[in-house]
Amino acid sequence: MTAAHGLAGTAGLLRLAMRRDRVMVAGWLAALVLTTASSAKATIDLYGDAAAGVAAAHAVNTNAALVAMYGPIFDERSMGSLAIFKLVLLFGALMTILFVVLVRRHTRLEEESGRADLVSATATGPQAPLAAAIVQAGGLALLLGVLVALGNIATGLPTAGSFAFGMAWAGLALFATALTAVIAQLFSSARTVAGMVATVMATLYVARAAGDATDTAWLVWLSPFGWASRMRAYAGEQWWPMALFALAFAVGVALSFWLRSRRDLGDGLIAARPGSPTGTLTGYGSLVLRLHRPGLVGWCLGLFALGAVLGSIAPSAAQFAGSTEVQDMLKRMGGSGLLKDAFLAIETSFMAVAAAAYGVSVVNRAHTEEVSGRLENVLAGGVSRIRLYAWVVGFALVSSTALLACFGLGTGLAFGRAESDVADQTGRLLAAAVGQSPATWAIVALSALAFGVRSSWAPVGWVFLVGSVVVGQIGELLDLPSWVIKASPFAHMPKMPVEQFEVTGAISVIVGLCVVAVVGGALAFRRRDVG
Amino acid sequence: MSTPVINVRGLVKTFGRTRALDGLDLTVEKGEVHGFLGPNGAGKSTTIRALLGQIGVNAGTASVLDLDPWSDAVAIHRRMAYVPGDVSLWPNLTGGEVIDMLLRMRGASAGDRDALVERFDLDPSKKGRTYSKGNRQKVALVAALAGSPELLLLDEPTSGLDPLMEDTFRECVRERVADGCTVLLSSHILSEVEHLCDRVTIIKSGKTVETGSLAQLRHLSRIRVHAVTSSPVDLSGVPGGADLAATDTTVEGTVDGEALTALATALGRAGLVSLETRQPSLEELFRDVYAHGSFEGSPVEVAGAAGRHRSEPTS
Repeated sequence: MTAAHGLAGTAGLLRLAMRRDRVMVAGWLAALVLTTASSAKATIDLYGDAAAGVAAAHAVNTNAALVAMYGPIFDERSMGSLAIFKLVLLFGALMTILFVVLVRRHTRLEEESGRADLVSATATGPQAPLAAAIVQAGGLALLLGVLVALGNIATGLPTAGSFAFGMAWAGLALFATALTAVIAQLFSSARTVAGMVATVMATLYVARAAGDATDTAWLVWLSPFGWASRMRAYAGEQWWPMALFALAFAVGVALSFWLRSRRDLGDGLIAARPGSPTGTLTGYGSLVLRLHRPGLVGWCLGLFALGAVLGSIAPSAAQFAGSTEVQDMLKRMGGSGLLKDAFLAIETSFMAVAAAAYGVSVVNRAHTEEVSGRLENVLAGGVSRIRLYAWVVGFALVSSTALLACFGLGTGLAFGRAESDVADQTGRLLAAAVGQSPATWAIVALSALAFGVRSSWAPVGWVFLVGSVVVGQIGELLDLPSWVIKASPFAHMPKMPVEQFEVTGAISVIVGLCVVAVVGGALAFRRRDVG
Repeated sequence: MSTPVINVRGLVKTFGRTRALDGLDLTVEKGEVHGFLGPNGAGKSTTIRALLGQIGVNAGTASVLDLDPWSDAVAIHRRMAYVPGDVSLWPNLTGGEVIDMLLRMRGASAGDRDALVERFDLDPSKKGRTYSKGNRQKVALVAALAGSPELLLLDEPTSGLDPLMEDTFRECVRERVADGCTVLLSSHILSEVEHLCDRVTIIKSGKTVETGSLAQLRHLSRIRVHAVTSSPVDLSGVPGGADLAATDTTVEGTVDGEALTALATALGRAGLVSLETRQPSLEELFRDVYAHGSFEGSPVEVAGAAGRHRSEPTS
């Protein structure tokens, strides 16, 4: 087949993609550029005099937990470096979700839904949907890079550093685009594609985190997040990592086209295995468990492994000398206490966000089931609405806590082994992780309430989750009113294992609100239209 | 005769250990409406997907409009249109947007698009997510029928349409055919097949079982016989192509054309009291093939309701 034929119709599909995504893409771009610029501006305003900025940057660099999570600050005297240290990698990782969503949506999801059948019967070549998705996502990656650079320049930051930052983001976005394009060829299920991309990206992030925390260069250079940070925006820019991004993008794109030419429309290169010819599912509960089993197992193993990595690098956090700035920073971030514990407390609080994300995804799965009509079948089959709601929400709550437990077990076993105190540390860190549950429940309960009131509102849980994280990360910087910052349930969790778990007033209120939201959602779900 | 519009020889397609197509043959001549029939899982949709170049095949040859469906897919698709049996639309695009987009992506002119929207009673301003099954089907039908394609590949195109819309569909297909369009129609609705199709191909388990005009197929099939005689019948002189059950003075079952004379002679010797023979209905014909893979050697129920299903062939 000639390349020209394979790509015929790419322009038309590109127009289709832009037409479908105009609202979503515009919203994402605006949110990303505004968040970046306002956060950078807030940092500059906060550390008006250079000395305070230098002290803060030094405090970050001497804390292994922060370096692991956000990457190092290469120039402690550079205001720009300080302004973007949370943005470049952690927000950068969140930013790449847009590109995973775009590529998956226009390739594998189209095939899964059968819409690709309609399109491929027109004068479009078999490679055209993939090409259109890559052109769209790649173009937006570069556009986003330029826009965030301009946004930072507008706040008064140096031009070269702003473009280094923008290109670091563009590079991460291009990497996510190419990775998704490849993985979308391998699996016929769009859900599996999303899970695999997320796993690879998370693994690469952890590799960079472990590399930075333990000063292991090869781990850093293994990961595109390492390349992004080594562009050293505002700290003596290095431009050559862009070549690594370009190379990875080119290889990934070429590989995805080659893989696409070796498979049929709708198929994956890795064939789905046949399942059981008979069923043992006895009711809605067992259906929920069965539907979520593959995903939950993956999440449990992933968080356990992540916990083990972080638990085993925690002792090295103690290598850093404790200056007064470090103590200040740690009091803010992880409470006072041993450096190792503070490290673990910060990582554990991040896992509460991941566990909440899983819970929200469970509730949103019910929304998807409802939209697709499968929920109607269940309700028509004699399952009461209350029972259905109870299983969905109950599973979301319990599984999010189970994920925290897996993480706690991982950190506890690894840290305990490093400290030769497995029994005690396991118990302590397990409790620390599970102790974050009320915050995850709050997010899940709100999601459940939204789903109960109206199916299409279920994604409100995502908004609340992302909002809580963003406010928690940069709320202080943006000088938001304290009630906004306190609206995040994560702000009220005990900094375990540094602090003890106590049923504080705030925690009681959060748990009480959870009960109200869940029950309210159940009552609303009984009354509303289904379908 | 000019080259067939669709010419498939010995097509093989495997999915893992499953042989979805196992040496399939299919010939569709220019200007005909060709029925493509077979039980679920016989390979109809797989064949159509192969003709669209959506899937590659393991063996055999196929040509569509004298071109290779895999390597010349784009050139073929400019001249044809396709309607799947289960249309999925983009949730936030309107039906009208989808129709125009599909036409443009085929490189086709709008033609009588507006008239078709009217005839199918479709509201083109609604978003994809709000359409019912039948209305999604209409969107794909309008997009396919507008713009004068040379070939229509229709894979159970009327699933979900109400009977009036089915009539509209039949009219539209006839109009297209009158303009020289060729149609391959996969359908389980036998009345639709009978009304529209000049010839049919019946496949099973990825192989072609029968192909020909409906009248030819009827002749291939056995004749249903029910006879009552005055004395017991001696069937020993009736050759192999018969499947008869004789109880005392009653004979019933099926015979093929060759055995009919011998049976008539045997019945005559036993003294005929009454004799009913009947061509099978189209439905019986398909049931035979679907269930047994051929017209031959199949035990056929001679139902008490014989002949009630439908009238004799019109062709």
